[in-house]
Amino acid sequence: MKNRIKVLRAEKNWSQAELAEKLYVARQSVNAIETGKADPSLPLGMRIAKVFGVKVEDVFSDD
Amino acid sequence: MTYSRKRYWLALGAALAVTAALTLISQPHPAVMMMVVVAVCGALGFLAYFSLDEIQRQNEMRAWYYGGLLASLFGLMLLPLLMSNAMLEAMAGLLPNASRMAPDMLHSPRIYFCIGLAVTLVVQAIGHFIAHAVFKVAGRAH
Repeated sequence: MKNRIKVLRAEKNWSQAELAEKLYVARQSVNAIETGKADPSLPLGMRIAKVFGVKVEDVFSDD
Repeated sequence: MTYSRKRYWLALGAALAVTAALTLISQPHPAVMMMVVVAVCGALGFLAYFSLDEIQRQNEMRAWYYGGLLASLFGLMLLPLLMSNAMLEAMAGLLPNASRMAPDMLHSPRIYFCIGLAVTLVVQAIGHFIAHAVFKVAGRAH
């Protein structure tokens, strides 16, 4: 699964640590999701979209 | 339960400290106390586990699973390889044998159960750390 977290994060000028704090997860987990090493659950995926103020499909897409 | 790195390390540290302290201080171990230790450490372990976020929990579960496979593959070999012949013979004597099935052989002594449980758990824990190291090298986990 591809995601645009890095791009969205850059637009907001947030560091991985700042995003992790907003999502209540570890910074390493944000990095793992961002690099595609781990896939988030649906609730976490929705939380990520909500934090960025976009729809889930604007963050995640099929390979 | 939300992610908390501090709570994770506190719970994990407390579980290890309680185990170490009560194991070292209290000799021999009364059965009731052992049950209390297992309950307390189990509760602290759950607290530590649920203090992780979902991605970390995924990694822990994966590592625990592969650690279990490693334990099954290699861990059980330690027992026959390292155990003294006398003890192995004693254990072999516990296997059901219809020709010499005496009443006192129907219930295996607690020591063998404890050894089996301890070896399996310790080897699985070691396998869990090996799996974590392999994931780290392979770049699959963080």
